[in-house]
Amino acid sequence: MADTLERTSPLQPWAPQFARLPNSVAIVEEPFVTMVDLRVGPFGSGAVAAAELLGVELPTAASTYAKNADTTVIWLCTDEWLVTGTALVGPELEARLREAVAPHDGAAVDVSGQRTTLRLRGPHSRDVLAKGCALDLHPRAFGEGTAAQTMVGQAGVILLAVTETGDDYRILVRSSFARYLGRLAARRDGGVHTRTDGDLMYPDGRLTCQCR
Amino acid sequence: MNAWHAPAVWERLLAAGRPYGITPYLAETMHVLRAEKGYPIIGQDTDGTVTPHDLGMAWAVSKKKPDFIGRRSFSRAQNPESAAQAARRVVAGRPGHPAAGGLADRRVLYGPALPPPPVLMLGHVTSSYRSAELGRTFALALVKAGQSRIGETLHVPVDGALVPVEVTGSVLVDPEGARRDG
Repeated sequence: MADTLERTSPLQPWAPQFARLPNSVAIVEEPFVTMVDLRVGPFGSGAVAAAELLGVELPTAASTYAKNADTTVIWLCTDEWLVTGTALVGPELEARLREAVAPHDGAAVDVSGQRTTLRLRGPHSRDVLAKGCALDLHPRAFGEGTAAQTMVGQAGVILLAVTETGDDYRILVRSSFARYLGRLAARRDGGVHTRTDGDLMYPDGRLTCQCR
Repeated sequence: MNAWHAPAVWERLLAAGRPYGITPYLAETMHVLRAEKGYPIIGQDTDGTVTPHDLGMAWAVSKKKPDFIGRRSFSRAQNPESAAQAARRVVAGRPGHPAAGGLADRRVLYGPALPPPPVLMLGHVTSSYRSAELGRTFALALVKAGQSRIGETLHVPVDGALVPVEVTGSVLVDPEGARRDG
């Protein structure tokens, strides 16, 4: 059979629900992002080789990320980064990174399927996050270039501040927690009322987010 | 396979199997299925006192190895290969009682009436389920000399009453293996 399988992202069934949210808290899934876990010594030749390949320096300051047009390199710990992008598919980026760092005792593993990305935008996005996240998200503490591994509700996430103004975030969440997080984020919107049975209702009585 | 393709593969598998009655099943179903075949869960149907002989699984222990941890207790004279003398055996009951799906941990007793204390126990139920295949409830139990009691009726207390159970062989579904072998 020559036909190809259709790809489905973890939050694809949620797109209509997200589309109904107001612009003050806009949520979209950014699906099918390539993610490769990179392990290499931070100050050795391996880090240099990886940076040359990616065109981005590996950030060495805790809880930060660095990026160019397509590639984002997220600091995870002293010798581990999550490299994200869309230009190459996972196996391809993994192979290239591995080739670059393996001679320097480094490792690269394609983990694209592990997480999906939620983009949270709008003037109220910080308020929405703040209800589920214990970090100080004010831009002076959590400005552009910050990448925290933290909890939003009960879900472990990697939270990226996209702008300096506290109104644009990327949330990298494990695929199996994505629906939970989507539901949580949608619930935090000021225009949505939470019913006692856990379903979400707009003031006009429309039910939303019954997709679990 | 890429994880993003998983839903598409899942849909195709279900579609391909639909004419044959394909159905997804989860862990709870697997628990029932294994119990119907008399497969014990080590730790649920056994504790540290249960020997391979008790399980009817002495055959699985190598007799070629000169030594192994547990060899002394394995070769005790009290662990006879003879089924009739076995100290305890996993046996399957035939409770047929609507409440008997929740029999686990209940005592297995002799008679239809509760004798004055101390009540002599023959063993205890380790797992119990309702079987769709059998159309009734059933249970696994560790019963003293269980293998020699097949066909006997014993009793298990359920909600204050004693419920009769029949001792059977431990394989309840397709004991001949005819279905497995096609």
